[in-house]
Amino acid sequence: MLTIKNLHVGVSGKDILKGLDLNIGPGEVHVIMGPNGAGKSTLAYALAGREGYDVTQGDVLLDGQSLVGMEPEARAAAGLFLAFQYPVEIPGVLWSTFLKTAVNALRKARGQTEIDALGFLKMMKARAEALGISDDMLKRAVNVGFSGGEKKRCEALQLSILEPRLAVLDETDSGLDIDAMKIVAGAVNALRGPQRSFLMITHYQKLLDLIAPDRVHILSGGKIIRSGGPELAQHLEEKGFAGVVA
Amino acid sequence: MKGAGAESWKYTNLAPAHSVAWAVPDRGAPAIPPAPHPVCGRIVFHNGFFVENASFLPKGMRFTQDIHRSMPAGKDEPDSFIADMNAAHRQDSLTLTVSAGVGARDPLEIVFLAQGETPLRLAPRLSIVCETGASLRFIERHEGAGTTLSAICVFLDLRAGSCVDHVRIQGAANAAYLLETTHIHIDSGASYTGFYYTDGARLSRHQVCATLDGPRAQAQIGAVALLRATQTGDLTTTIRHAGPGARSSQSVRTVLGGRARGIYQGRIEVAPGADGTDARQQSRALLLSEGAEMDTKPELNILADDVKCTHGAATGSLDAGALFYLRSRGIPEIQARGLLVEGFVSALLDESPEQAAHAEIRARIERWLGAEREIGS
Ligand SMILES: Nc1ncnc2c1ncn2[C@@H]1O[C@H](COP(=O)(O)OP(=O)(O)OP(=O)(O)O)[C@@H](O)[C@H]1O
Ligand SMILES: [Mg+2]
Repeated sequence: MLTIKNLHVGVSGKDILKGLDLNIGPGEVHVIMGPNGAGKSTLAYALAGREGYDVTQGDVLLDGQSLVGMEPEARAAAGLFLAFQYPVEIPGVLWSTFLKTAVNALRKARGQTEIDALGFLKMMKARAEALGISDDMLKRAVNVGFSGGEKKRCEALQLSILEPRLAVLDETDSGLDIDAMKIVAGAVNALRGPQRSFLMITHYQKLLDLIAPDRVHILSGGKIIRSGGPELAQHLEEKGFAGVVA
Repeated sequence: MKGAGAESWKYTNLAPAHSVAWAVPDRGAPAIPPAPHPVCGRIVFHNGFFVENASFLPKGMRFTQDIHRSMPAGKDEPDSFIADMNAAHRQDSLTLTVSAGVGARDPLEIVFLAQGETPLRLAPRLSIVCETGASLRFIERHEGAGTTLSAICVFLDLRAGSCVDHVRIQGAANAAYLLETTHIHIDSGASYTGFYYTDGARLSRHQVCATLDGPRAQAQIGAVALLRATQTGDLTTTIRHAGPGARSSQSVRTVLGGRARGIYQGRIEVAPGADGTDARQQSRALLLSEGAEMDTKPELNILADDVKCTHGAATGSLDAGALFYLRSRGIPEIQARGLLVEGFVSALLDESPEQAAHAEIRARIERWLGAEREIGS
């Protein structure tokens, strides 16, 4: 589903990713771990098409289509979703407005008819409830004044409402309390299916106990330096990056 | 035409109006469009003349035409340029009196229609007296077509314990010059709420001069302006705390595209003896293009004790992080920009108590964003 070939990404003229290769098949869950500053979020932003994250070499293919050079909204329409490590506050824009606009923009880009207001509201409330997000929270502006954990829950809500083909979750587990992590992991597990793949960035073994991944990769120095099964994360938990990289 | 030379006109350039040959309008028999939403009464000015057959009032409100009566002078304004121009070219002048106990469900509408097939100079005047304990909700509307230069004076007299909700929708024609003073006197226990929405006119200046003249007098002003191309929009306020224990607040949001220019000059005066004053002022501007400019000038003059006085001004462009966040969810860039602009102004709009005008203002903002999109600021 996702093929990353020899990806080089520069930020402000500085090379951060230096020849990254990754292959994620349909229905697979892959995990990327790596030390702070390794370039994990850089990879996530480059996939989503953030300005300033310049692909200088290599390619990224989603279902065979190259994403390089595409606008962020076109990538979303192609089925990509990024849960942000640091979700952005948007003053004055209410959750319901934002989510409905997003759902309808995606439907429009895919040649589908718009969802009606009532049907959307029902769907939003049901999915929010499953994630422990109250109606009152959804009456507020997007992320404004939300706690770290609340923001992460709302990233999970967007994931469950937008139903992407490939979800990149950048430390969605960081900042969540234990109960919230279980709820979010449950939501991710419920979304797993043969036609949906996940790339999860995390620092914690805990998440991997809740969401059994297919593959674990270690990103360091702008490259994948090791890949393996879930046991690699276990190994990492015991030895630390120093022990694995050495 | 005499130049506007005072310091307070530093940012607003009226020079282009000097070269126009302004004519005096005739009192015709204009066709007046109906009010866009339910109203309890209507006062219509067309090209500076009061149109009696299009105006009506509910029980408890009455108007008189001021023929020879001398009007209150605007001498305590920061400068009297607009008042002087109005006095020099005065057309119709009206006084509206509102008694206590008018329980109208819908607001009153006051319309200033300016239609200049040839360039016209207009100078109407309106006084509103809100008697003790009375309350009034009104929507003041500016619209029209063609080239006009309006110098409008409005006086609001809020007697003790009275209450006024004022919404101003300034959608004047592209070629219009619109100068207006709103002179407000607020007695003890009286409360004024103003919400000013501006997207019209080639050049506009709204000069607000409010005096809080007794304990528990209140003034709350919100202003939203959306300007583009080469428009200039100037809001110049003087809030004078003359008596003790009064409260005032001003929140201004300005969105500027193209080479538009926004101006906010906010002066707060706290007179000796006006102890316990609470005065706030905040201005935020959003620049959508490199050529746009916002000029902000706060001025505080505090001569009393125990005064809470805050002011703040910020100018910035659209938040790139927020824009990317929206786009990453599939929302196309122009639509995402629109959401952010709406979000920027909507907090203020939601604070305005007059619900009747909300839908209309929201629709105007949508339309503005649509046009701004086509130009691609
Ligand atoms: N705008 C920038 N200018 C210069 N360097 C940058 C810029 N943005 C990111 N970097 C650098 O790129 C490197 C990778 O950052 P990135 O955010 O991808 O790390 P990460 O692996 O996600 O780390 P963490 O685990 O802390 O989230 C860091 O060294 C960071 O300082
Ligand atoms: Mg990161």
